This record gives sequence, structure tokens and C-alpha cells, in this order.
Amino acid sequence: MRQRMGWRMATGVVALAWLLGLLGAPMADAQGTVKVGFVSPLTGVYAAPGADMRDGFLLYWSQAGNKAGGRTVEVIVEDKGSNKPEDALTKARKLVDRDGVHILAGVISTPVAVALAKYATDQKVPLIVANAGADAITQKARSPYVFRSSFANSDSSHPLGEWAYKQGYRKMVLMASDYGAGYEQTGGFARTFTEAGGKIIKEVYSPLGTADFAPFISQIDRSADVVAVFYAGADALRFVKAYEEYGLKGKIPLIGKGFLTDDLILQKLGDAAIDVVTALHWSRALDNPENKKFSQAYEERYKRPATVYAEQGYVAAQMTAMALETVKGNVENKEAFLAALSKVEVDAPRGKVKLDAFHNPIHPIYILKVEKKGGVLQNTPIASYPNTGQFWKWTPEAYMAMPDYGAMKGKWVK
Amino acid sequence: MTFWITQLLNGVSFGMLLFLLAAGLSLIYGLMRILNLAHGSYYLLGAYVGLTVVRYTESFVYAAVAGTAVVTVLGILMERFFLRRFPKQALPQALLTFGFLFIIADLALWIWGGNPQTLPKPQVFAASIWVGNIVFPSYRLFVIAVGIIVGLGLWWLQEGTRLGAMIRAGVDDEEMARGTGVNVSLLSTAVFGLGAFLAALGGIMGGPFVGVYPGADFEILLLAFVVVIIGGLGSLKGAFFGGLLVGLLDNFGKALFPELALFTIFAPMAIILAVRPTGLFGRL
Repeated sequence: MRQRMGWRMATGVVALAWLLGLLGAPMADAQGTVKVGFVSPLTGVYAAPGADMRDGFLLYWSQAGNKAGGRTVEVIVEDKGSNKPEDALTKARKLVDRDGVHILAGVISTPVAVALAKYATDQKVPLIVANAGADAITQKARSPYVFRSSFANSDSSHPLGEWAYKQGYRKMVLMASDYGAGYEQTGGFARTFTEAGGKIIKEVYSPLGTADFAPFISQIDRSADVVAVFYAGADALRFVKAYEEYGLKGKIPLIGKGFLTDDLILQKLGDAAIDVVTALHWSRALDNPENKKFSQAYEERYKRPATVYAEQGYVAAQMTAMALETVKGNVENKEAFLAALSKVEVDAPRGKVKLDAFHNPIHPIYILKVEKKGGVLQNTPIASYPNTGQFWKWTPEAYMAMPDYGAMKGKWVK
Repeated sequence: MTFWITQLLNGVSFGMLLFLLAAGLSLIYGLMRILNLAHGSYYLLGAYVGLTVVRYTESFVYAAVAGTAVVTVLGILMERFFLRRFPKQALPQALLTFGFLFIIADLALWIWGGNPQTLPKPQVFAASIWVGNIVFPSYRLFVIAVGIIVGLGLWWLQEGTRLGAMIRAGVDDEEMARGTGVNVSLLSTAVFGLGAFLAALGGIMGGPFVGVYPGADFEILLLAFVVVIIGGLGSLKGAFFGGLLVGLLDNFGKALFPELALFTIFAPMAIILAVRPTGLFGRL
């Protein structure tokens, strides 16, 4: 009888201790692992870029032996599923409250970025956005806790507008998906093109996820010198193909933001994409040692081509690691960590990246042309603009005093 | 002039695709009162299977055969082993098909990945046709041809064969049909299979220009519903003319009033629901 009671007591004590251990775990990690919560869509329409962003992030940590600043780094990935901010918030809450993460990262889409930026600021947890490009996040709605490793929607558009004018184009037709990112991505080049002296003769907006681009392509004014667009994902795939099918390829040059021909869809575009010129902060074909190392490692490990989303995830990890090194692992000292994060300068696959005062990258922008090399399509850099920030040649105050691109929709044609 | 002709042909080609998608949905509902929400998945699977087959065989025809065959079998299995468990219960059946929609979507994501893709066009239709100033992809003309042939085929089936008569009888009044010796059970399976076949064919035909990607199933399902509501549930004629109408309205709407692009599909649906809820040719 006594022996039995003893066993029962022992089991009970062990169970209780284990339970307490579980509950106490988030608190008990003062000098333990640094936890990073990574929120990414792994199902639904953004599944592909979401997976790339996550894998780029994880690639860095596996190369660094899961260590930085003298501490082990653990990444907890949460699939935010749909595009709804509420779902992302639920995942973020779980990561911060239950898992006790010190840093949040990830985020593909703008509504989620906006929701998580507010949450991160309220909870005082640093957030590194590895994709969502909404200009406001690092401009009017900036926060000391929110950083970006990716881009602001209009930052690579500004050089494209100037470049277009230099090619001799004077009349531009502007086309985009009808939503915030569309206005910002095209607004950037509309602004610099018109400031240089060019004219926008038509703006055409199509709903996000348009099955059939024919009616929109038919609205292109045939007297234009250039058609400049923003489309991404399935829309980009359909648009570029339709542009060729309806006889415009070779008649009017097509230029746009890099997502039009990004590596996620480039090979599927086929010959329809040849000679399309885009602007972006990275290309698989960039010829620098960092990019070669990164792309090869990524493709060996994940058996699929590296994309800009993967690169952005990788850079987010690089920034986190560098900041951790600077504070010698003391991520709990928030002020020091935030300061360290804002001063990072990394050798990213895209080139040298540092952050401006608003926590957005200052990085090289490349003008890319689609070419076939060795039977394979690639985005070949034909020009570059190093150290480009989100405000282009304006001061932050002057830039933010101008009407934002959402408000300029429909007003570029004079 | 160029504009109008191009847009007309475009609208008709898109309309034919919509017809293929709506016909199956309409038939299934007409005969069995099952709201098959997995209809979008049939499109998705048909296109994805076709994509894989085309990769290995370079043949559009094999892809079409494989894609439709696989999905037809799936449809039949779904009907025989799952939907039959809830005879006449609309809600459980709809929920069941909804569940399949999600399961197939996830399976497709797992097998084929998340990247948007398009089916390669058959070589013979790869180029665009130039007539004077008008450019038009020859593939879309092919889609129109297929739509018309399928439409005629289905019409002949419905009006000129015994099978068609049995289907019409079943749609009009199931109990009476059973009473006169029609094997409604076998008919149901056959019609479900036919519906799945048409949706998969839609996937193969639409693959080259609409593409296939995660989310396509929901988008297609939505379009099919709009057509079926406008054309009328249970009516093949409704699916055909509803599809044509939606295709044309959508196309011209977007071309002439781009600010209203989102409305061009839903406005006609709303109008029909208000004015003639059973749809243009519906009898239910």
C-alpha cells in the first residue's frame, strides 16, 4: 500500500513539475533561446511567395548554426492562412503571449502588415516586415518598433520613371491592379516621369485577380511610346501573355515593376516576356558574390529557384542576426536592440543594405531586361541606382507633404 | 470597328468558357438538387492534371483526355460514396461538397505548389491571327468552336436521346420519373459524372488564358454561380445563353466602363434576381 502511494505521489509530483515547467517556460528564458516568430501565408493565393519568404529566412539561420550574439535562435513559423488581418493577429498573439517570442518577422500583404505593425507597437515587440511594401508603414504610419527588409512600393518606381524619360519615351500609358499597392507602385514612376517632362496619356486599372485582360489591353492608346505597369502573381502571368496575344508586343515597349517578370513566374511566361524591362531591388541574375552564394545555397536546399521573396526573408534574418551581435544577444534590452536594428548595414544578395531614419531599406535598384541566356529566361541588370531610398531625391518632409499615391489615382492624366 | 470586333470575339470566347463551367453545375442541381460547391475544384484538378500530362507528353489532347477522365471518376466516386449518404438533404450535401473544395485545394497546393501557372496552348493554335488591323489569338477562336460543339452535343443529348429524355423527366419531376421506370439513381451518377467532365474540360480550355493557381477554384465557382443564377438553374439553354450574356457584358463593361469593372459581372446577376429570380430560362 505504501509503495503504491509512493509511486502515485511521485508521478503526481513529476506531472505537476512538468506542467509548471511548461507554464513557466516563457518567463524562464532570460538567458536562453532568442525566439523569433515568423508569420507567413503558407496556404491560399500568397502561398508561393509566403513559402519563399519563410525559406529564405530559415536558410540564413541554418547557415549560421541557429546562433547569433552568443545565443541560440529559435524560429517559430506560423501560417497566417488567409489574407485576413484577424487571423494574422491571432497567430501573432499566440507567438507573443504563449510562445514568448522576442521578435516578430514575415508578413506578405499590406492589411496584415498594418494590423501587425499596430500590434507590435502596442506590445513593444520589434517587427521586421519581409515583404509588404505599403509606403505608409515606413512613412506617415511609421513606428519605432517596425522595420522593413523588403521595399516601399514606390521606391524602385522612382528610378524607373527617370530611366523611361531618358530612353526617349514621352507618352506613357499607366496600368495597374486596382488597389493600394497598384497605385503606389505605378505612382512612383508616374511622378518622376512627369517631373522629367513626360506625359501620362491614360490610366487603366483592373481588379486584382482579373481572369481576362483582353478588355483592358484594348483600352491602351495606340499612340503611346511606352506602357508602364504593375502586376504581380497570376495577374502578371496573364497580362504579359495577353499583351503578346493581342499584338502589342514589339509594337509598344512594355516596362513595369519587377513583379511583372519575377522569378516566381518568369519561366512560365516564356518568350512573351523577352525584352520586357522592369525595376526591382534584386534579380536572380545579379553577378555579385553574396547573391551567387545565397542563390546556390537556396536552390540546393529547397530545389526551386530563388526569388525576391526568399531574398527579402534572408535579409530580414541578416538584419536580426547583426542586431543581436551588436547587443551581444541582449534582446531583452529593447531600447538597445531597437537602436542596433536601426543601424544595421548588411551585405545582402541584392547589394549593400542599410535602413533610413524611417526603418526602410536604402538599397540598390536595378533596371532589368528579360533575356534568354542558354535557353533560360533571366532578368538581366542593364542599369543600377545604388543607395536608393524611399524618398528618392526629395527630403522626407517634402516628400510626405506631397499627396500620397493613393490620392493621385486618376489624376496623372492632365 | 477593330475594337468592337475584338471585344465581341473576346466576350464570346469567355462566355463559352463560362458555359462549360455553368452547364455542369446547372445540370447537377437540376436533377439532384445538389449544390456542388466542389465544382470549382473540378476545374482546378482538370487543369492541374492536364498541366502535368502536358509536361510529360507535350500533347494537349492527352492532357484533355487525362484531365477530364480523372475528374469524372472523382465526381462519380464523390456522388456514389459520399453524397448518397444524405439523400435529399440539401444542407449536409452542400457542406460535404464545400469540405471537398477545401480538401482538394490543399491537396493541389501540396502536389503542384503555389505558383500561378498556365497550360501551354496546343501548337496549332499558338499564334494570333491578323485580319487587317484586327489581332486575335487563334486559341480563343478554338475555345468558341469547342463551346459551340459541346453546346450542340449537349442539346442533342437532351432533346434527341432517350437518356436526355430521362434527364429532363428527372429534372421536371423526380417521383413521377421514378414511377415510370427511370433508374434515377444511375442517372444521378451519370449526370454528376457529366457535370464533373464539363468542369474539367473548362479547366483544360481555360488553362491557357485564365491559368491555374491556388484560389482559381473559388474564383471559377463564383463565376459559374453567377452564370447559373442568370441563366436559370437546371437549364442547359440557360447555361449557354447565360454564359454568353455574362461573357459579353463583362467584357464590354470592363472595356467601356473600367471604373465599374467589379460590377460588370454582379450587376446583371442582381438585376435578374430582382426581376426574374428563376433566371432567364430557369424552371426551378
